[in-house]
Amino acid sequence: MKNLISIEFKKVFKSKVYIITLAIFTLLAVLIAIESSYYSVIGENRIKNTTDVNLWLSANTLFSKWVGGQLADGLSMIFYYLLPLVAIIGYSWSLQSEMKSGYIKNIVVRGGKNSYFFSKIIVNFIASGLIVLIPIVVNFIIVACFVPVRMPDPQYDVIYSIYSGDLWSVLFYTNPFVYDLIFIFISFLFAGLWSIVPMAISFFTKNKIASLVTPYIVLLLYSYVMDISGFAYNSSPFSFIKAAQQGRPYNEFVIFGTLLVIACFGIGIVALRGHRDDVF
Amino acid sequence: MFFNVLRYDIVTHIIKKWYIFAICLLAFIGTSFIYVCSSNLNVGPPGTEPYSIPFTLGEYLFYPFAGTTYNTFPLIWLICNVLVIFIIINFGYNMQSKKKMKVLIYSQSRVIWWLSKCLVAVIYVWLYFAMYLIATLIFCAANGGSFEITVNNHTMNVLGLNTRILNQLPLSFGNILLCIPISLSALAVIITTLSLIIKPIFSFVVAFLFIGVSSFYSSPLLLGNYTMLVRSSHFMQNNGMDFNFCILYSIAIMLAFAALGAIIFKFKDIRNGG
Repeated sequence: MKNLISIEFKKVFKSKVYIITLAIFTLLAVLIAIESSYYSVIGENRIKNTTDVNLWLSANTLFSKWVGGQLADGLSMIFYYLLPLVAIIGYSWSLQSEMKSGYIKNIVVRGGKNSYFFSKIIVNFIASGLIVLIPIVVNFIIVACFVPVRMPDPQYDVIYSIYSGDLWSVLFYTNPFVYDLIFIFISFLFAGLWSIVPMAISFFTKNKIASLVTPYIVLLLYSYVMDISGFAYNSSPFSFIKAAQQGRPYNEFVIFGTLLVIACFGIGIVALRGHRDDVF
Repeated sequence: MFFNVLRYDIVTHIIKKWYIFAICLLAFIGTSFIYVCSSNLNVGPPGTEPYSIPFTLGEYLFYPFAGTTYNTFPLIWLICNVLVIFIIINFGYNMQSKKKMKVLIYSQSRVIWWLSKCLVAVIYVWLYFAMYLIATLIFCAANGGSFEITVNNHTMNVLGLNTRILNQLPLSFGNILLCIPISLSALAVIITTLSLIIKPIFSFVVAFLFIGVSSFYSSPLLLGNYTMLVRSSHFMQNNGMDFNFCILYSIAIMLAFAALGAIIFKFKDIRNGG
């Protein structure tokens, strides 16, 4: 199992598709950081030259300018809508490719079916999580280099879109680093679990594009239906992985419940079909 | 020879894949159903009587491709666009399979083969548009609606659109519906050309970015704007997209990318997939 995991990791980090996807997504994160920092620096200069009493100092802070803290803005919104797609492009295609090419037979005959599929799940989870985590962390660091780290002030809650009574709002106004870390971790968790879904779909179709894109279309559809259904909480993964709580209120049970359903669907099918199906 | 290749492509990629269009038909019946449901859900305070005026065909047609005047992602519009992108990407992926490439040998010319593929991509879009019209017609007839292609303030309220910047409502808009397939045809040729250079899944990402950026930046150069009916000059008094420019621009894009694709494909190493 250990050997299989290390082989899989080598395959991931030598994969051109993985590296190109990571590079493009990181570039997008850097662009968002540059745009955000640019407007923040302009704002700081305006504050220095003004005689206004209310300077809105706390509004111009790292916690409202990094990609997850921004309100619905052009590039940051595209970033979060691309995130599930990028997570699956990274390495989720590998299982289907290996099934098609017959590579799976060589591995299974040496290491066993269960070891193969579980190492695939573990590596895919970590690799896809990283493909999302690295750009977010890069964005956070770049923004932190230019935008002051001021404690969020509840008076300017409209800027952060985190109001009294919102999920973990007390944590945000007392320890914003921990709050943002939690949401970065949720993004990592979502990307990792979501990337297992196309692996599960690949047991049902031989079409690579269909297995990668269909889950994404289903996710868009699910978000839309939940959006118009009048459900009390925000259950769209496009939104609840963002630290700025726009739209309907967040709820920890809905967030982790959604992640649990995704995990059960993906891991369940891969484990079940992987164990049952004949690879030869 | 061109018509022989085209006939083969239509049979292989369209007639044998009839289920794709059946799914589209069901999807558009679904959007009309969602419109009726959200009409009763989103308008008025709790306890308000359901919307009682008969729906018009225009309302059903307008809902999926209405788009928005704000800088945000209208999800239903995004889904309708992503669906057509997916169909084209899938075609781009299938057309390059080794088995299908054998047709190239019989076609005697790479340009003929390529032009046939571009035409099939455009046919895909128009069939998708036909499914959209048929589905809404069926739903409208089944639901006892009137067949006027008009929208009113109620539709704008359901979509959450600000009616102040729009022209006087109710408004007839049948003539600008053609903007959708024309601009999507141009996008289809772009995607098919991109599929020659990069992996199909990356061309999906590029097309998604193209559409996504369109929803945030109202520029006549971004094709996605023409698939949002509400952004046309017919609806928006100021800075609306011009229908005539849409036709000219889309045709220019189609021809340019078809020519670019022909050049790329002429020098493509088919045997090694390069």
